[in-house]
Amino acid sequence: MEEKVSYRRVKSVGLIKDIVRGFYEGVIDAKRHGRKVCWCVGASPYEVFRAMEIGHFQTENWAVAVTARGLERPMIEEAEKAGFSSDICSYASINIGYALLLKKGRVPEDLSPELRVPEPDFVFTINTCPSMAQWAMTLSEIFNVPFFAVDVPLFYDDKDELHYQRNILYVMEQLRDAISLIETITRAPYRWDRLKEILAIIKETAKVRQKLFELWCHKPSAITYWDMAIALGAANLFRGTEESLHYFRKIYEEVKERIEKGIFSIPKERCRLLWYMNHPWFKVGYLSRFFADLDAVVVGGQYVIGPYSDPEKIDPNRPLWTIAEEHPTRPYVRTMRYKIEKFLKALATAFQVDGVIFHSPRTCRPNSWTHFDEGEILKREMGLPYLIIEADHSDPKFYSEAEVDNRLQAFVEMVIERKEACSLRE
Amino acid sequence: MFVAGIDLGSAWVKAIMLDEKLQIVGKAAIQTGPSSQKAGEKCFSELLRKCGLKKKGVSFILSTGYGRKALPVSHAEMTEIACHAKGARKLFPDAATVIDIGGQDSKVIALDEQGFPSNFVMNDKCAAGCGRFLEVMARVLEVELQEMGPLSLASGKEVSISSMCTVFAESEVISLIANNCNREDIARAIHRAIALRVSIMVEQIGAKERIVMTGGVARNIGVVKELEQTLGKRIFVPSEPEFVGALGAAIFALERSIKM
Amino acid sequence: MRDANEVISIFTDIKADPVKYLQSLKDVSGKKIIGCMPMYLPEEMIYASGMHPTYVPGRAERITLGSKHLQQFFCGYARAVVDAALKGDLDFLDGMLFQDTCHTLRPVFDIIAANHPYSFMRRINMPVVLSRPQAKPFFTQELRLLKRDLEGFAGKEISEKELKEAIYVYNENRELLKKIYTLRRSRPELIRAREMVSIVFASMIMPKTDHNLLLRKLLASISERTPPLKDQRIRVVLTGSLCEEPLDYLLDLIEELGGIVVDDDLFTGSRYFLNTVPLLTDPVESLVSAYINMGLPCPTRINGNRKLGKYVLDLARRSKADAIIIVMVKFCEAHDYAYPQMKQFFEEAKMPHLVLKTQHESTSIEQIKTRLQAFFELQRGR
Repeated sequence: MEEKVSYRRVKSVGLIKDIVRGFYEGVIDAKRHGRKVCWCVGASPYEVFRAMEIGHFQTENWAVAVTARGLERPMIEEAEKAGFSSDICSYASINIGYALLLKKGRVPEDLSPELRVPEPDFVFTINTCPSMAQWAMTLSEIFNVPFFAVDVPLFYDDKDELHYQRNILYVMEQLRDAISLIETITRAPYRWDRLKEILAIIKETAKVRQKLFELWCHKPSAITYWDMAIALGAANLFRGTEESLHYFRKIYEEVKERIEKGIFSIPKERCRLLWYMNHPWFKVGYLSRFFADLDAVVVGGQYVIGPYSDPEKIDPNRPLWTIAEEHPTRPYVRTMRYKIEKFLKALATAFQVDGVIFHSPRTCRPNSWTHFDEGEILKREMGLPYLIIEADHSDPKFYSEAEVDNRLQAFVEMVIERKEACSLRE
Repeated sequence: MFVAGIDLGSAWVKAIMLDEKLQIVGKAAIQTGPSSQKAGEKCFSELLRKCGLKKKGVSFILSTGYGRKALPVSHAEMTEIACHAKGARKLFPDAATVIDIGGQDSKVIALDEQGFPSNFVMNDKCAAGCGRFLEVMARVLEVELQEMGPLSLASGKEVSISSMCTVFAESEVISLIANNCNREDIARAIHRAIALRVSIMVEQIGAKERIVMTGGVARNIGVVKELEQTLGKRIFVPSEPEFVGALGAAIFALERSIKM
Repeated sequence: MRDANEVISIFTDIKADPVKYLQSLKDVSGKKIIGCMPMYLPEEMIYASGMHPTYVPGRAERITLGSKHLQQFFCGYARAVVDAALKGDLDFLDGMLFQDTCHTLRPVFDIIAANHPYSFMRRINMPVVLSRPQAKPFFTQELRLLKRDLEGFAGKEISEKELKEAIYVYNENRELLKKIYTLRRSRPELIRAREMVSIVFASMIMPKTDHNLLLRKLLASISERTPPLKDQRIRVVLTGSLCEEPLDYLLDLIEELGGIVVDDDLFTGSRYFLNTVPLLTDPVESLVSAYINMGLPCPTRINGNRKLGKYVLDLARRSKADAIIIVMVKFCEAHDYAYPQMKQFFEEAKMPHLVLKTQHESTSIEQIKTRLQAFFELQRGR
C-alpha cells in the first residue's frame, strides 16, 4: 500500500482537557460547598448561572465527554431498562441513564471522577429542540426537583421584523422569570454586575474567534472542522471565563504561525469539504485521519462555529436581550431557506469547498431535517455535490463503519475525480 | 507495461490484467470463501499465471470491493462506486446510470456527461435483492442459479412475493411451491421482487439513459427483463458483467502508474 | 336501528377514503379547504372564515417520495403526509396550517413548501410551556395575526359573531361526541372500536354541522342497535398513537381475542373533543384560553407536571377497565419520553397494561396477535 498521509492536529486545541476537568470539578465542588447545582438541558444561558456561582453544566456537553471516553454503554442500557426507547436522542439516553444510576447509588466504577456530577437542585432547559422540555421534565421527575423550561418559538418568517422582535421579547421575558426563580432558589439578589462582566469576556472572546474564523477559511487549511469540534466546548459551556478567552487566543496564535510557516492540516489537499449538522463525537480523531488518508480535509461546518460568534451582537449592558437574541442564530428554530443561505451557501463559499457532507444522526431528528431538499437545492444553486450519511452523535451502535466509511470514501473519490478532470480540461 | 485491478467481493474475487493500451491481457475469478485476503492473493497468483507474468512485471495493483483493504499486495484501493463507474464507462462511453447488483449489496451510480460519478445510492444494509438472495431462492426451487433467468422467461402467470426479507421470502416461496405454483412463475416473481427493490434505489437517483447493469446478477436475463419493465427503459449488460469492477480498478491502476 | 348502522357506515366510508370525501366536498361546495396538521389548531377560526378545516390524512400504502425527503427514522405519518402531498394526492387542499407539535413534523412544512406548496402555507407558534405567564399574551398575538392572514386568504373578514358561532358549533360537536362516549362506557358492546374511531375521524374531516346532524341521528337510534360485540370479557382502555388513527386490524384483533374497548385517550378519539372552548366576550380569547388552560396532559407540551399516567389511569378506573393498551408508534419521540413514567405509574397502581408497537411499513400482525393473545390469557387468569 502507498504510504499513509498524516493529519496535523492543532496542538493547542488539546488544552481543552484541562478546562473540561477544571469546570466539572467546579460543579462537584459547588455541591460540596453547599451551593446550588443546576443541570442545563440544551444550549442554555450558562452565564446566567455562573453570575450566581451556581454549579451548572450542559447535559449534552457532559454526554459528549462520556461518549468520547467510550463510557456511554452502561448508561444507555440503564435508560433502556427503565423503558426509554433507543430511538430517543442518545445524549438524553446517556444522561437519563446516569441520573437513574446516580439515584440508585450505582454510578459505573470506570466513570472519570470529574464526570460524576452531583444531583441537581433544579433543572433548566431552553426548548430550541422540542425534545428538551420532555428530557428536562424527566430529570426533574427522577430527582424530584423543580424545573424551568424557556419556550423558544420558531422564527418562521424570515422577512417580518416584527415577528422577529416579538419572538425575542417572548424569550427575554421568560429569562427574566428564570432569574426570579434563581433568586428564590439561592435566596439572594441577582448579580447583574457579574453577568455584565461575564458577557464582556464573551464579547472579547468573540472578537478573537472572529479573527480566528478568517484564518480558518485559509486555503490550504491550517485548522479543520475536527480541531474546532474539540474546541467547541470553550465557545459553549465554558464561555465567559478567562480560561476560554486565553484558550482561543492560543489557538489563534498557533494557527497564525502555522499559516506563516506553511504548516497545514494535511500535506496534500485535493478535496475540501463542508460538514453539515452534528457529527459522531466518538469518531473525531478517526475521521480526521480517515479523510487525511484520502487527501481530503473537512474544513468547517456550522455546528462547530459555536454561539456568540458575532461580537457586534453582544451588549453587556443589555444582557437579557443579548442572551435572548442568541437563539435565532441556531438552525433549529429557522426556516429551511434561512439555513440554506446562512449555514450552507455562505459557509461553502467562505471555506471554498468542493462538496458537502450531511450527517443524519439516527437519534436526532432536528439535526436530520430536510437534508435531501437542502442538498438538492445546494446542488442546483451552487453546483456542489453532497452526500448524506446516517450515523449518530453519541451512540456508536448506530455508526456502521462498513456503511459510513464506504460512502465517505466513494464520495471523496467522486469529488476528486471530477475536480481534477475539470482542472485538466481548463 | 502491465497493471492489475482486483475486485474482492463478498462472494467472488475477480481480477483483470491490462496493458498500457488498455487491452485486457488476462482475467481470473475464484470464490472468496472465509478469507478475503487469501482469496485475493490466490486470485492474483492465478491471474499472473494466466498472463505468463511475474509479480514484479506488474507496475501497479489497485484493489476494490468489500475486502479491498485486506490485500497487502495492492498499491492502492478505491471504492466499488468509482471502479464500477469507470469500468462501465469504458465499455459504454455514453453510460449515464450504472446499476450494480453484487453478492450482498447493490448500488446505483449516476454519471455526468463527462462520465464521472455525480451521485450514488447504496444498499448495503440488507442482502435481499442481491446475489445471495437469488442463490437461496434457486436452492428452494431446486434449479441451478444460471437456470433461473431462462426459467422465468417461460412464466405465464403473475404471482406475488410480498416479503422484503430473504428469510421470510424463502418461507413464502416454499408455501407457493406447496400450493402447486409452478417454478417459472415463482422465478419470475422473485425477479420482480428484486427489480422492485432496485427500482426504488434508481428512483432516488433518476434513470438517465444509457443504463448499464454490472455485477454477477446482471447475467440473470430474468432480472434484467423485469427491471427493464419496471423502469420502462432499456438496460445494457456487458458480456462479462461481474468483471466490470475489476476493469475499473485496473484502469485506475493505469492512471496512477502513469502519474508516478 | 337501521339509522344507526347507516350513520356508522357513512363514517366508516369516510375513514376508508377521506381523500375521496374531501375531493367531492370541494367539488360540491366550492369551499377552500385548509389542512390542519396535528394538533390543537384553532379550526373554529378557519370554519368562521367560510373555509373548511380538515385533518390531513396520511395512510399511504407504499411510501416512496416521503422516504426520499425524510429519513426512515421519522415517523410514518410525517413521511406519509409528504408522500401524499408530493404525489398530488392532497391537491384538494388550498392550504396547510402547522404548529410546532414536535421535531418530526416540523420539516414537513419546509418540504411541502419547497416542492408542492398549496396557496396558503402557514405556521403558527403555539406555546409549549403552557404555565408560563407570557404564553397567553404571546399566543393571543399569534392568533390575531393568523386571523388576519386567514381573512386575507378567504377574502372576507371574520366577524366576532361568526367566530362565536363557529365555537358554538364546535362545542356542540364536542358535547355530542361526549354523549356517545358516555354511552359506550356503559354499553360498550354497541359500538366496535374501529367504528368509534371512524366516528371521531369523520368529525375531523367533515363540516361540523353535517357531523352534528348525523351524530344526533346516531344518538337517537344507537340504543336499539343489535350489538355487534358479544362475549368479549376484558374491558380495555386505549391510549397512544399521538397523530393518527390506530390501525383497524389492531382494533379488530383486540375484539377477536376477547377484549372490548370501553374508553380511549386517542388522538382520533377522546382527545379530539374533551377540550370544550369557554365562551368569553372576545372569541379569540376563548380560543387562547381553551389551549392555554387545556386540562389534557400532553406528551408534546409542558402543562403542569406530566400526569399522563395518572390521567389515563383515572380514565381507565372511571370506565371500570381491566387493562390499558398503549399504541406506540415507532419514532414518536414525544411518546417515547412519556412512556416510562406511565409504565411506572401503571405498575405501582397494579393496572395491567400492554404496549403494542406499530411501524408504518412493517408492523407485524403476527407479533401483535401473539402479544395480545398472551396478554388477554393472563387477564382471564385473574
